[in-house]
Amino acid sequence: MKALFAEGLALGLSTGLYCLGACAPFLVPYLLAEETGWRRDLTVLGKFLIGRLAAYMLFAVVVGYLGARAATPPPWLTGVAFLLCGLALIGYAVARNAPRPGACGRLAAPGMPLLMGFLAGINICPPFTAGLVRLLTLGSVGRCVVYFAAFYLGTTVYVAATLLLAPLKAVPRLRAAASIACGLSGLWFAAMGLAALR
Amino acid sequence: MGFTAAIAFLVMKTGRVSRWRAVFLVVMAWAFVVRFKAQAVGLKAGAFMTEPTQEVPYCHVALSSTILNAAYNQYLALKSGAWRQWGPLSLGFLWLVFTLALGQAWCSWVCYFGGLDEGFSRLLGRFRLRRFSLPPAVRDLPAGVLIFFAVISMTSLTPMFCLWACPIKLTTSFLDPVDAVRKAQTVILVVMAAGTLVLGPLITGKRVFCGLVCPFGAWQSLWGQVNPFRVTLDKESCTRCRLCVWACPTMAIEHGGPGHPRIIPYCNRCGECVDVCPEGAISFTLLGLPSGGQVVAGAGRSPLAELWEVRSLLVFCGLVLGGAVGGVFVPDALRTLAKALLR
Ligand code: SF4
Ligand code: SF4
Repeated sequence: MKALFAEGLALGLSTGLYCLGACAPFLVPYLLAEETGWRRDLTVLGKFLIGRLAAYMLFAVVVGYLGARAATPPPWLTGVAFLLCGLALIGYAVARNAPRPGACGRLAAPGMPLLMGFLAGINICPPFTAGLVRLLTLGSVGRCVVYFAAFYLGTTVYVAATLLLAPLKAVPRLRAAASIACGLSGLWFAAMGLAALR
Repeated sequence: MGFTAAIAFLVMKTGRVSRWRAVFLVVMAWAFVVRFKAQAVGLKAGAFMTEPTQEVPYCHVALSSTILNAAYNQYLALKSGAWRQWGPLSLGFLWLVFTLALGQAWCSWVCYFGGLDEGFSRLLGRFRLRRFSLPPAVRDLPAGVLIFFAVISMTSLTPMFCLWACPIKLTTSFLDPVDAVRKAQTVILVVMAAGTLVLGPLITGKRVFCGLVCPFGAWQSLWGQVNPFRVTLDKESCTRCRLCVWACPTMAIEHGGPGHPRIIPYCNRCGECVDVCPEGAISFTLLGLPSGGQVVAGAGRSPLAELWEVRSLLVFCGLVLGGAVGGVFVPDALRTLAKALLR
């Protein structure tokens, strides 16, 4: 098990920069758009990471249980994840900038980073695919969970580095700008999702 | 040189900074278009770029929107010791010189994007819809554009603003629309150019690209604070007529409700509000410090005293640096035009 854990960690650490690339467009504008305060920043990042962990564990359990039958996730999954993530970000940006929040206000709710983390986690990116291929050879739920937990830990080192950008929020206009960037990211991911579903 | 000197003379003679600055900027911008369009057509016998990926062009707007990529590449170059790869560092040095000397005034005295926007925003004269003000949050759009494109360019390692949103792409070279993605890019680029550089400015009389899109404008509004030139409103003399609010081409003066208008950090020192204020309540200053009142041409100050005004200092810096950048392509543009006419 130790060797398996080390292998997953190594894969995560070596490909984590790519994961940062995949998660930063969701996470960075959102993190910058929120109020200042380290506690709040840590909460947002923590929720995002928990959401992402949930997605990873879901994959590990499903692949470990179903084996080869689940090793090739349906091609529409990434499209749906992108689309949902895009719509959530657009909703959030609207809620942040609307004069009266109304129904969209709920999108700025505390659960938002959790949802985004989960949706970011079910995106099938190249390092994730590499991890999935290895899962196929492991043959048990327990081993799959250990391997993917280690892989997750390795990549998280990079994703957590986004916290270093948080001090920029001291500029009030930057927070407003970041919420606009959330909307633009949302449009981008929604368009990518639609393109993937075509 | 002669053209720059003539502009300086006209500013000093008439006391109208923005009018003659605009002439200077628009001429420079069109010279840029002629030079680069001619080059693109001449080099490739068609104005299409067919490469699947694209390097970051030597353009300030491209650089600001790929700033994270530039920092990363510079890190790699420094680590490898390959000093020939230190391009971003030399460009960074140039940017620093311009920022120290001009700050945000780059946008109104040097930038060719700004020149095109400015030209179209003035074309319809009094038929423009100038009297409106936008909610303050809208004015933060360029900063949002900057954050979004900086992150997405870094994660994809390509200059995404250039490929997806740059309106000036049409004045240099198009992307060859061979597949669906290229077609989508081309459509967006055309819409951006038509909307933000031509129709938007024509209808509103505002520099729509500069005010609502340009990531470099947002970047410069942050770093431009290191430069001492400011545009300052004197509340004592202001009668709240709002002429400055309607006149500001980059929407950088907030209406202020029942109070006084407020100049926000996105101001790029064009001087339009200084020219238009009937009370002389707005002036160029150094760090907002009182400069001894605004000079109105012919109002009795000696020409030598006028030369030491903050306004003259800004005009000098703007024209020297604008002229230096223009010197790279204006002679070539003139030669191209002459050749085309004599053919
Ligand atoms: S134009 Fe002059 S007087 Fe009128 S609101 Fe602006 S600063 Fe005040
Ligand atoms: S505030 Fe005045 S100087 Fe600044 S951009 Fe607007 S009109 Fe130009």
